[in-house]
Amino acid sequence: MNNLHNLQQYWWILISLLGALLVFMMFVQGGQALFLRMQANARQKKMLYGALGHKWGTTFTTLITFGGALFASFPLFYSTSFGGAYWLWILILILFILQAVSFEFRNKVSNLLGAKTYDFFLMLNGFLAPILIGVAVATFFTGGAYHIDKMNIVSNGACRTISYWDNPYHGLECIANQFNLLLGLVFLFSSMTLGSMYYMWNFSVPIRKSAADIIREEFGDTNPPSAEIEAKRLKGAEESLKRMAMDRKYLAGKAYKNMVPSSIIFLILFIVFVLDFGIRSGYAVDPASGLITPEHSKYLHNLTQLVWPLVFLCTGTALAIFGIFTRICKAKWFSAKASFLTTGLGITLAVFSLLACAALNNTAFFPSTVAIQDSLTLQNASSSLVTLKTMSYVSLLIPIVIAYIGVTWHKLAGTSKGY
Amino acid sequence: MFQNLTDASRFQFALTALYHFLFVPLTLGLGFMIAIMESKYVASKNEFWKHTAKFWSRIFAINFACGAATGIILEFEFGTNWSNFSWFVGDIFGAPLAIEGILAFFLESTFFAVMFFGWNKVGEKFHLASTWLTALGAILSAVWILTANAWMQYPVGMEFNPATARNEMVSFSKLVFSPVSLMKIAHTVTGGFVLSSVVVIGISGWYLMKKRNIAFATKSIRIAAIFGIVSSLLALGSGDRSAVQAAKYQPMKLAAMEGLYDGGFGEPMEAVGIVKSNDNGKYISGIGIPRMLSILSFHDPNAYVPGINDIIKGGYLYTDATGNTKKALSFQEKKIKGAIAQRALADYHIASESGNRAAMDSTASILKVNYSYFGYGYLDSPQESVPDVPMNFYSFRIMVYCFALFFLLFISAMIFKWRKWLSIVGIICIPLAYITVECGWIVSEVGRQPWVVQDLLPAKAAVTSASLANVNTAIIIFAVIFTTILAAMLSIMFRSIKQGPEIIK
Repeated sequence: MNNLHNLQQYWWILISLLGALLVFMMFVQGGQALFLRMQANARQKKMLYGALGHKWGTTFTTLITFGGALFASFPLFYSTSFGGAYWLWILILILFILQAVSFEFRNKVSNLLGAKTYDFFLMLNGFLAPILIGVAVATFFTGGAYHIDKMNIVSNGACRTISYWDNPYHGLECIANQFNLLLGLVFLFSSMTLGSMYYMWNFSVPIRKSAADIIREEFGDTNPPSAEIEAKRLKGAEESLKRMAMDRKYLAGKAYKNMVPSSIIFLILFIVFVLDFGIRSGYAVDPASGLITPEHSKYLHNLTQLVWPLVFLCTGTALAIFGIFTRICKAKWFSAKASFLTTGLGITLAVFSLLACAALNNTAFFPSTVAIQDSLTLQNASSSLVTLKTMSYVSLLIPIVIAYIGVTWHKLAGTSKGY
Repeated sequence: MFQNLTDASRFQFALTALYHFLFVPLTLGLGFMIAIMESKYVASKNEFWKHTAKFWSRIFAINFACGAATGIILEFEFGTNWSNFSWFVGDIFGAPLAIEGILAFFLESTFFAVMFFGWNKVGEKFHLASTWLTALGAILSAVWILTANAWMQYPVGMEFNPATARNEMVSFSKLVFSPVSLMKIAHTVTGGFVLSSVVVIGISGWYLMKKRNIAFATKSIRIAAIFGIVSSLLALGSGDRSAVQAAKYQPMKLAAMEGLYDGGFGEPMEAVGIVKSNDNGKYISGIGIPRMLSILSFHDPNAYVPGINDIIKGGYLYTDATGNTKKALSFQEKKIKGAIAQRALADYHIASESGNRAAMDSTASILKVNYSYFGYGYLDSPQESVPDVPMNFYSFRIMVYCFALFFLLFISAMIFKWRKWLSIVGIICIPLAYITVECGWIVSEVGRQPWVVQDLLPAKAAVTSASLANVNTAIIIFAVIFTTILAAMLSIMFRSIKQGPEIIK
């Protein structure tokens, strides 16, 4: 823990892991993007909201933590990318602001804008957030149009900013980059694949509620006034249970119909992206002098030279294909939950290894497209030894966080809100 | 719109931060009150408490979501709008933000989900634990973000590294246990508790006035009044300490709060007053309480309190953070030291590029000696070092007088039989409570100006070089979105309150 070099590597690995977990957690966005295609009636729509309702907070928090961890470990990236690609990040934030309030407001009475508006906001977030996060993450490979001069801070001139962007589009131009957009689409379709698989899991587990539970929820614990009313209540509860089961079957079926094309498009786009990634030139850093030079197929070299990212990438891809395959052919021996988790784990591993390759093995992780020597590297962008060390101790608590999230999800799993 | 990038960026931050704090303070206190109510339910099995807790939970949930939605932008704004700040202090400032995510937000958002979706799904005890953990998570989030904010007011535990041209952390514990940070946490959190108590009493008072949900309202008032009295005393104590700290570490902020242009020994405090200006500059016309300012700032009726003009002129004696008596430097002297420090940093880099070790060492030591005034090198005139006096002067008084009113409300709620006038006062106090907490933030942050990091970096040297049009556009977008969110949230809240808690059948 006392070696700056090792801590920088450790923190990049953590950032990659957080980024990968964010991509996995965007199954919530995928679920939102599918709202229209699920062709749900008002009652079924509420069930979709219920299914995603207690998960969006985790995705949202993962994004915040991803940002916070980048700030703490590589502040120069925070300063350069956020300040430079201003609109790209601001658009992402606006999408997440809309998401947070929409989930809370949508099913409330007197919500001012009407449920349809909030549905629209959630669709917007569902489609655009994965694409724009993909674009932002892809800039780890494609870079940005910036200059850095730390001495600007003591310059007498008009520009005191240590980093400045070279064009007036402030990040909007990153969306026009093919490679960035491709990763954006990969994330969109991975989210939609995972989102539909999540629905399939969520709506295929048996209802845990009994008729008595429903009566208690509706009328409280008090005794019914008469036997006649008691029978009536019981009949009503049984009917609603039956309706619930039908709704759930319908939604699981719709989710399946969406999952098949989404997952196939995802796999094709993903393979195209990995090939593009493999032939892409990157920028190598000489660790001794800090000199940055272009290198053909740099990311392919990173995969093969470091080996473990290659293993992770292959394992992840295999797991994702396996998970998707078992669901497409409705394998009885592999539950919907297992397929969702397997595919999720696969996507997480694959994205993790790709992100790791962006910076490890002496690679510039946010190249400057206008001044190569200004490119960010783990060495020149990182926090100091003391900060990285302190934060590393804090990071040891992350497994506890993951554990309690797992426990609560397990406890809440199965039936969605109201149903 | 704004003509100046720094003003526009400051406004964008102020706008988003003030909106954010409309949603946060209620969650700080209400979470605990709900936890107390639910504990009563689990202990007594009385459905009444369950419904009471559930009703307040709905109010909590709406505020929580709006707080999350408006909060995410603040974290990223440090990068988007204050990119120099992000590098200059990111090594220290980033850590509490990341810790907030890892240790607090996940706790809050995970158990929040159980709190709202977990009824009838998880066991009663697990649910109760989740409610307590959500409340705790809300406090922990506040703790970490306030630690970061306090560091901007009183930067400690770091050293400037000329090679990287930034401040680097040398002691994490100094950052966490900084006296300013501890007081700031105590004052902000207890302030949130006071606001939550006022809101609960105000809403309950409305039910009593409408003669409905009597038992619910009466018992809610009881809990809120006790909670409010305890929190008020803590808020008062931490507020007093905060004033002492401002006198010690941020004398200009204190002078601006008090509208004190020319200071002296045994200074009075203006109980009421207005800021006026004549040919000789601005002055306060009002009614003063003799020696009060000296007592509040230094706990000594004869203490010397420097005014704005004194701080610019320098020459008076003061006690520094380590307890030594020193003669205050004038603005001009500080500016010269700041310019020397900045020059030394530039020279250091020239020396470093040519590999001249001797010159690097000598410039580094010049920089070190003068570093505490680094930021003054950026300021052109003494006026630039003075925050907005009327805004601080009035905000501070609004905060204090409203607070006194809330305290009377809590006491009255405890001792008087509930009457219509109490309901009316309670309802009026709700918007006042929000104005009060926002005023608190104005005193704290506008009073800090021109600095983003006290004495080291002024706002104008911290800002991103985005074009003015970009920031103006972003301001309009955020103003529209946040105002819509606020309006929708109020509409839902009013409806929810009108509907009231479920009546037990």
